[in-house]
Amino acid sequence: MSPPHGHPISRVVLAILALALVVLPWLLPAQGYVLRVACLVLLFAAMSQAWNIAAGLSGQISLGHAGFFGAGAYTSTLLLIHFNLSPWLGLVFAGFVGAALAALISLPTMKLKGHYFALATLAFGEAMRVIANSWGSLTGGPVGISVPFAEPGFVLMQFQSLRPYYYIMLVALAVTCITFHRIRTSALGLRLRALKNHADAAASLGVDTAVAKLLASTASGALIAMLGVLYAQFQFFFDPDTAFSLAGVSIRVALIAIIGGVGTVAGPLVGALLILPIEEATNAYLSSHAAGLSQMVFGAILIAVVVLQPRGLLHLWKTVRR
Amino acid sequence: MSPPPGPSILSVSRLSRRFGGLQATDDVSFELARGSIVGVIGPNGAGKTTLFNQLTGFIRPDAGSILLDGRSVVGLAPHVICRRGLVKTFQNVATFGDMTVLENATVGALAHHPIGVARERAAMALRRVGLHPRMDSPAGELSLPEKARLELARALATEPKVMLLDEVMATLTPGEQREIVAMVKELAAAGTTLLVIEHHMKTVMTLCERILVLNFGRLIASGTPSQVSSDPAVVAAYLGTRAAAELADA
Amino acid sequence: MEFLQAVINGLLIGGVYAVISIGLTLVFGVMSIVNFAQAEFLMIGMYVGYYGWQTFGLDPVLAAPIAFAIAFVMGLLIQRFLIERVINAPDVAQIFLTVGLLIVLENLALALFGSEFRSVRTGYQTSALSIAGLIIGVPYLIAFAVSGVVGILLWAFLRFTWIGQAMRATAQNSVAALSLGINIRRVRQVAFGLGVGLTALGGSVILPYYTASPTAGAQFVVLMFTVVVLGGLGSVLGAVFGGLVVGVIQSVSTLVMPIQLQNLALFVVFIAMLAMRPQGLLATR
Repeated sequence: MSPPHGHPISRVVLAILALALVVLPWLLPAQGYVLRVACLVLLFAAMSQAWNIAAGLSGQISLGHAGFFGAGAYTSTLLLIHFNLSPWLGLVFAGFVGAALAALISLPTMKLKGHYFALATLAFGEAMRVIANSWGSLTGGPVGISVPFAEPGFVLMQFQSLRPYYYIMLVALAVTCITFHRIRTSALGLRLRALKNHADAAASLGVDTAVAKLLASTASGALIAMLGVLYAQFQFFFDPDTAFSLAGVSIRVALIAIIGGVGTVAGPLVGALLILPIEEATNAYLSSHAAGLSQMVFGAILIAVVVLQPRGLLHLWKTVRR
Repeated sequence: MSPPPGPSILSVSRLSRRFGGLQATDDVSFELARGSIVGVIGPNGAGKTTLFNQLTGFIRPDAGSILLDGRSVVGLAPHVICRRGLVKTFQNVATFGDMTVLENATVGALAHHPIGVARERAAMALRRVGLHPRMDSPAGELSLPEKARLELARALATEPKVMLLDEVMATLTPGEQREIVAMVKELAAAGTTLLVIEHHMKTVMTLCERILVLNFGRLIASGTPSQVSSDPAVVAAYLGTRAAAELADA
Repeated sequence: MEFLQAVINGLLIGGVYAVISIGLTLVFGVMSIVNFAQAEFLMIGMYVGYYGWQTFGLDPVLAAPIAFAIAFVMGLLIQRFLIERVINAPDVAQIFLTVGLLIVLENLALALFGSEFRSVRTGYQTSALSIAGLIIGVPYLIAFAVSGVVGILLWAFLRFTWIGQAMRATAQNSVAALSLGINIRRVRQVAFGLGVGLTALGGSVILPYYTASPTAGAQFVVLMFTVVVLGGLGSVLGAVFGGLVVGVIQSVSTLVMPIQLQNLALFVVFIAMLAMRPQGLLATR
């Protein structure tokens, strides 16, 4: 299910889209709301792509990715606060922390299937949230933590204008997409897709399913933890309930990939492009009426998509095209 | 240091496995000579698939030993056993529906080769079963007989020493069955050992040099097709009058 | 002595946890679907209880059957129009359907009732009995008693009514049940309705010592799942056992760790169970 190669028209379309993406920040006000939303779209698309690496390829639906994301955000921010370590280096540490946590959670959940696995990861994400809320001496507790404001500049990954953030997120998105694609077309990717289809058959053909899942999970956890660093630097402030949020992070990144099409490169992109702007729009129109209304609309959309086309909108589009 | 290669590629000794109150495998012992084609027959529930599952590592035997090329494989994970050279096909179709035919076969080839070479070996395996023209089709779209052939190609791609074929003939036309029989014989001639579960009597009798008969988990007879078909225990336990008539024609 | 007190408290609370969680295990047993939105029905039950008390002065325990009825009907409709459509769909669809339901229900409550915490005041809320040196809070005792009654009724239902037996048959082997002429769709509808109804009933029953809010359900999610996993997903008796164990673990752990970490102990137990014995402590496999 890779994007069509060599077809002249789609190549041109892709090129135009790419150009538009690169030029966009200069067409918008440097501190404006739209650019801010655009940055978040890119970030969440990247997060969703990171989730996609494990869930999309191996079929193991994780509802606990917030655990890695928040861990990454806290890791780099704490290193910055206590050791004045640049967030760029913080990225490396966050990656290690995310990878370690993913490996750690991968071991007890290795043999679990489907719903059980989703449950276990959900518990993990929630556990991280509870730990962050309780371990006040480390994380600052429920009050949250602020990224110390300093001179805007590249070294500390802090900018006054939104434009540099946009490009950083764009690069992050490109990196996660390329990583997804490289893994998918590699031996690991084939093994993961095989075990997703029929784990026993894959094992009997020589696939070490445990190692494959561990690798995918580790890559996924590391990447999303690094994206947590970008989030921290972008928002300047976060607390455990936000960074480790079940609905706001774990479910959202999964939802984006699912609506767009799990297991494909384009899925998270389509999903993010649809969901975030719509969410912003409904928030703007509906939250004046009642709190929670826009989220409810989301839930309803999710249900509708799942019931009508469990494989996601991309699949819907494919069937319409035939 | 592994022991020197003996005449038997697979040695099963006193294999037993119980599930609750049922003795699914009861003190089964047999040897497979290299390059031989051996059939396993028995009524439904005789324990044939359970036996295969123990050989491939999906079920751990309660007692007994399994030596593949002189080395024990009891307790090893299925993927390790595959890399050691033992592979089985699945009775209920287990093709990777979301992947193309070539990708399916490539998974098998990855057991011994990096991805580039694996793809070539996979294509070769597909040619052998006649699925090469369909290599880019999604496996889910194949017909049942084509899926059976894909099972075979995937298993072949793992370059096995011993292949366990679990009822591959079931969905094939007589013409296709003849082709598979010919292919199996070629494989055996080239050195692969085959253990075949089959219900189709004619195939078993013509294809296999030796037959093992299981009933209630126990090995009740073992010998050449003619020996087995005239063995009173086998006739009594398994072969009804109709199947006996089939044999008379074979 | 303090330990014994903690154990008693734990058992009392655990009885209610059992009733709350039985629905989850029933749904899984009959349809192999983990209802991620189950805890939201707890919240719904709480609100029914609250408004019953606020508008009619009805004691939440008496309002519990009403909560059951409302949730039962909701469950029937949800199962019929939504869940049934994904009964054979891939896991991801099933998971996200109930996750979507979770989001809709929680935010619906937020939109309808606002985010304030609401609690009831009953006459017996602060009273307690003193038996053999142990203090037993009356609301907890009543909740436990109600749970016991509900448990027995459920047992009788599953054992002696036709549809109860049909549910057990379907849980064991749906193909065989079909061939016996059992209308599996009807069974699933009733199972789901019954499941969420019981959870809602539990919500109303615990209102005297719990506060209602749109996020009340979320706090119980992991707890409920721990209960059913301990007892084995699909086993009603297991849910009873699991409920009691979780109640005791929660209660006893407050003796050794601060309250925020209480839930952490549960998470660890939960993940450990899933890793080591996903079939539950009671299963013989």
